[in-house]
Amino acid sequence: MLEVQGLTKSYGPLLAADDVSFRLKPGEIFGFIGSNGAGKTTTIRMLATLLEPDAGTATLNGMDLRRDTMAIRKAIGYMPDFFGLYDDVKVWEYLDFFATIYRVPQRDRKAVIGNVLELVNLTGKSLAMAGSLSRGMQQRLALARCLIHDPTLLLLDEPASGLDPRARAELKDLILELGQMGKIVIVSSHILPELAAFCNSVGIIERGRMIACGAVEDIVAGISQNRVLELRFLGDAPAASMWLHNRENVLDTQLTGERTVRLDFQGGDEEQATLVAEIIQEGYPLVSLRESAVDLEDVFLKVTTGAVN
Amino acid sequence: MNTWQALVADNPLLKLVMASSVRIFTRTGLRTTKTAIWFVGVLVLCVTLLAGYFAEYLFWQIFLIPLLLMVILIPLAVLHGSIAGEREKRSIEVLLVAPLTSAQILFAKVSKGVLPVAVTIALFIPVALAIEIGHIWKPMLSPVRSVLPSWQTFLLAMAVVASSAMFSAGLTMFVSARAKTTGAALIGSLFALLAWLVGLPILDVSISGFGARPDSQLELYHTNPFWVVGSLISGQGASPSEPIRDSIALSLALVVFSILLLVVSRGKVREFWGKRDA
Repeated sequence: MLEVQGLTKSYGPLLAADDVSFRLKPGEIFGFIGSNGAGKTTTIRMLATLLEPDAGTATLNGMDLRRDTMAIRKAIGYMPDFFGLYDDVKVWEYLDFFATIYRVPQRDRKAVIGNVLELVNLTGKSLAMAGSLSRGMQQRLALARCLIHDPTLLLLDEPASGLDPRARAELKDLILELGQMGKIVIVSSHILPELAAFCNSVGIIERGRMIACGAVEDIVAGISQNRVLELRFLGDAPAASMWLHNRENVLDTQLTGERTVRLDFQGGDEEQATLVAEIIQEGYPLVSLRESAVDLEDVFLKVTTGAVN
Repeated sequence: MNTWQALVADNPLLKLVMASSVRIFTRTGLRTTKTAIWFVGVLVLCVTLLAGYFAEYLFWQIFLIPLLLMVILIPLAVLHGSIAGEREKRSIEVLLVAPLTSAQILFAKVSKGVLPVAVTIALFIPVALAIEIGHIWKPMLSPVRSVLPSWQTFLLAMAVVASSAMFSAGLTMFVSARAKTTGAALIGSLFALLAWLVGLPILDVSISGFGARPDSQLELYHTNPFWVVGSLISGQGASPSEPIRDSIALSLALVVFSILLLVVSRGKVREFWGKRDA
């Protein structure tokens, strides 16, 4: 169990993380979402013991981030967005190096390296030089390094950045497998649809503050109280948009094309039917109306303002 | 856990670094063993034949100057990228989240420079022996007896050599722990070494030239190991004990400063830069 309570970190006047709190269970895959400069990396680095929090703390299975730093380090696997590999060593040498550092017993080392290479699908590359691997393979090697000591918590900072679609799909499967193994996985990313595909829960951070946190379905459901309707007109969409803007139950309108308007609508089926009738009565040539499904990206755009520190 | 255990016995990074250094020596070093044996052999022969004719200066010129220069430059060459290089490659973050203390990382990194320095000193021992042998047969050819450094002088000179290597390592680590890139660490370390070896004596001469320093004060060129070893071997000084006193004082000072530099550097190991999203 990971419990993060009130983590705060500032760089001079800049408040990079402000009272960040959340709680994760074993097997939970947590997507950490935020714009550049929102405070994701700072929070992950605090959890990785790279940065000391100004206030707050975190406990991992009862071990305190501040007091039991060494024990925490043994229990976490951290992958920065830049893999930071040693290019001039072989894949197995690289893993052996970290197995030694993490004090994996000598007699188990060969088997452990074999197992993690198999898990990340790099068995055939154990004799290749780390620097000669493709970016996708380097990323998997970095992940293998994180797993070499069988950590409880995995901190993956934008692991999918720069990967091709196939490598991303493989990464998704791998993260799902790690979750099934009972590990707590924290993944930060900008690619929201992919996060939604494998995360059980998400946290949205903006200007250092956690503005939404919880199960993906709960957060989407919370936002879905408002319907997003996409209307296509035959002619003057701007005029229709102006008119719609002042209607009851319409929270916001947005011109998405010459003939299309997107609107946030608050109300049930009855109110929606009334609105359609009013549009036609007013003489706006409505061609179609479609209700958009709310996804993680909508949630993110909805709850954040785009402000950065 | 005591300091010895933490830094040496229970330091997996140190074991890896030492194993890697030994591997480098056995892989690449032994490949050139034949050449090295030939080189040292020819050098020993030349030194043996010439020893007596150059009297006491031979020991200083052929043995100690290159040795001192090498043990000062080797730590610079080996260690300048040890922290800055990790930072440049961004591998430092991965190392810092491992269950290692800053002191363990720093100690392991410094140890990387120990083996080449030790091997360099060891390679010069046959040369020193050659000088001894040369002085045995020389009087048979010439009536002028040359002055050979005593064992006490030799040991004091070696103390200056070893402490200079240690100080060079400490200074390089100090710069490397602060630099963002390997290049900056190399330039910074070179500048620091030049300031020590050249800058201080020049400063001393300048101060003396303006008459700003009373004679009783410590001359800054006494911090230069080349000058101290030179005066020790030649036996020159205001009093017979002055070169001995200088070499002991310099050795102790260099050791103390090295430790201080490493202690200060320890606090900088955990600093890293280069992340846009921090």
